[in-house]
Amino acid sequence: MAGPAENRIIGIESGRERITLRSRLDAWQARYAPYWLLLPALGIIGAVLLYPLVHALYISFLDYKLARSARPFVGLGNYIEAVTSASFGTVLAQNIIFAVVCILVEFTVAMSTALLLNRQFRGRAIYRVFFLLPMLTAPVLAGFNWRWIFNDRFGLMNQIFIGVGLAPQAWLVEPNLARLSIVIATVWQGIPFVMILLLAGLQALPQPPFEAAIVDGATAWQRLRMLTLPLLRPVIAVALALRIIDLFRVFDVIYIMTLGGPGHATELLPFYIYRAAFSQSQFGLASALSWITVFITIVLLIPLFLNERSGAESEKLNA
Amino acid sequence: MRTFDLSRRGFLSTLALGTAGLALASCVAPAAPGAGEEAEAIVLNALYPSGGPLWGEYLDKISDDFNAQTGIEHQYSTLPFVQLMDKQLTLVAAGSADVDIFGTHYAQIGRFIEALFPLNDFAAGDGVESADYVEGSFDAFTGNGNLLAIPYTFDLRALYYRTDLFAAAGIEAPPTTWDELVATAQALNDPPDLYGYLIVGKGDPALREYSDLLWENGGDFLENGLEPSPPAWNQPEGVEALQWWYDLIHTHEVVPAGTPSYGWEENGQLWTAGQAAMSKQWGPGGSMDPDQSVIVDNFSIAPLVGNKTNITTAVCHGRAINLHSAQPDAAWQFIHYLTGQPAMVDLHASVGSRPAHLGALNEAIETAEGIVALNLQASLAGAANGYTWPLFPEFSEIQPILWGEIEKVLSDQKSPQEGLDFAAQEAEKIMVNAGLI
Repeated sequence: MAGPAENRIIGIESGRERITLRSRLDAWQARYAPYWLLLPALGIIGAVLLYPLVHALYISFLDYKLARSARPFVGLGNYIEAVTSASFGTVLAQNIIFAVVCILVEFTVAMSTALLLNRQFRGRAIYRVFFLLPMLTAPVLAGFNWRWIFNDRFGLMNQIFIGVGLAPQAWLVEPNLARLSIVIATVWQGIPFVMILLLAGLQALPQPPFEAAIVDGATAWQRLRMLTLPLLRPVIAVALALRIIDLFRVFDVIYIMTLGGPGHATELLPFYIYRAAFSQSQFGLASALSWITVFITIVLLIPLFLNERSGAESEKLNA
Repeated sequence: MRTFDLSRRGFLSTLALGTAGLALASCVAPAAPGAGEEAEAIVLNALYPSGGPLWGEYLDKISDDFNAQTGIEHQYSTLPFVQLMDKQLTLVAAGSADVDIFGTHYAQIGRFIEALFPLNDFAAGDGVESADYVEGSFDAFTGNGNLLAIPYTFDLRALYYRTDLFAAAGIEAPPTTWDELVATAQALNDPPDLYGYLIVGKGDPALREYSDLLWENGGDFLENGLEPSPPAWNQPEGVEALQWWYDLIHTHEVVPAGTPSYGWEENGQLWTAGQAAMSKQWGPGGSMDPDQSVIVDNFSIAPLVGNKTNITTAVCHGRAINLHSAQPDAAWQFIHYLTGQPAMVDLHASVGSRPAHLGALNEAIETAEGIVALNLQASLAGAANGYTWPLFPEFSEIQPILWGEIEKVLSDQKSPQEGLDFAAQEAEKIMVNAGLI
């Protein structure tokens, strides 16, 4: 049995241990508490983002057809089937052309509008809201509206054509007109988004270089080409990246307006994937196509980011 | 003033205790309802194809009646057919039990063959027999030996024509052959205000239309009829049928130029808007509603035209139970009620649809009046020639390929032979891969 002196010593030692333990616990908390706090958000992201992606990747290696309970592993079979089919090449080319045309139209119109709305004039705020309205419309609703606008019998477009003495057109029947109709419906919704990004960029541009250019006698076109566009490059890169991603996801408008027709003429990658999954019940193939689309989108974005990074680095060096 | 300070350690301890308490509480089984407590009511969820405002009223009434009899609540939502199938596929692929009862159809049953609850035992237990329903409908809804749905409505089309325009042009009777139809349409054609005829040309409806034309012209989808076998639609009968359809649009110009973009919706709206002299319709629909139609008293109904044969599409919609449903017994109770004779008679009286139950169908024939009676007589006149498309699962994969090629032909991107040959090659690949041929 320990005496009082020994007890004191033991008490001091256990007190030291307590202090050490407490300090360790505090250090542990200080180190890991942020991770615990992040855990709920990470859990949600994992559940709604990562799990579907990984599950789709898993399905893409199976011969997954709804009508059959057997879902054998087929390795890269679905990927090979996807990339070797003639229709995939056609749809991919169609999607790339569609994206290029939409981006050209959207950036031209959006830049013009943004430059206009960047000036001081009466009612500017009202015009800004007005130009944003298409962006506020749900894509499905926009699709319905455009479907009826392009209807050959009741549509507004043909009424306008007849009104100006032109022959009415079967907009959603002739393949190129159907493609044009989809482009119009898509850029109508895309322009406001690009415009608002460019407008924000324009408003953040430093004024001294412009003032100096005016003093030096630079024309408006020269100022646009030599100053505005180079200075806006980071904003343009972001807008371009976001639009490329969006234009490889266009589905709603096509589903409502043409259902991919006539004869797949307006089919883009998302609709092609939808058809593989929902019309042909080939979920394995559809998952493989989804992953291929993700890969293509990333590949298209890489040069954009590399270019932007090199631009930023050269600006740093110049500074 | 007394303050309460909560240290970080105190906060974390409280949090830990609270979490442990909640976890413990969630592990305790809920108490069964005791005496005086009511058991939770059974609620069935269903998903059906949409069918207009009358359809909603009818379903509400049926739900209330069923609830009064059984205490089981029936909740439903409706969607257009294509979207309905998409949603059902999503639910089934996810193994979801959110919906207990599905609306389905001959053309779709193949895709859901392993996703629907087998009804054989339920049907046998309640004396539901194949002989009570439209001939062949039980067979069409059977896959791998399992009865997957109970027939609900029996669908056939008829030729709708404008009596006022026929009288003004001195045409005494509606056409009965392809040639007569073209001649009549040409006689009444006055574009852009009025077209001689209306026909669909897009998506799934285009394939349904092609079925009629193919069969009327003496062709068939496959060499061995409904059995898996090499495609036969690209034989001369099929090519001629598609050429005839193409000619209506591009050569005779008796249908609107937008036809390749029309589904049932556009067809119905143009008909009720008075923009055509003739149209093939599933039923009167909005034609009799003065709010939607300008032709209320100016149309009549005749049997469909034929060519080499009078074979036409005759299909049933059905009601099925989701394989993942947690309450298949209650779901069967509802389906049994819904597809029984009294409810089917009510169906016809309320919305004018043709019941698939033969007893109800006979009762409907006896009691129907006016346009509804005409529609019933005209469509049932074609029932003897009723036929359907192949129902094995792989044919569901083939259908979109075929309608895609039909769209290409109708929109002048390919010749009929090229389009049908391409679809046949693709279909053959699918069937070979599945080991069917």
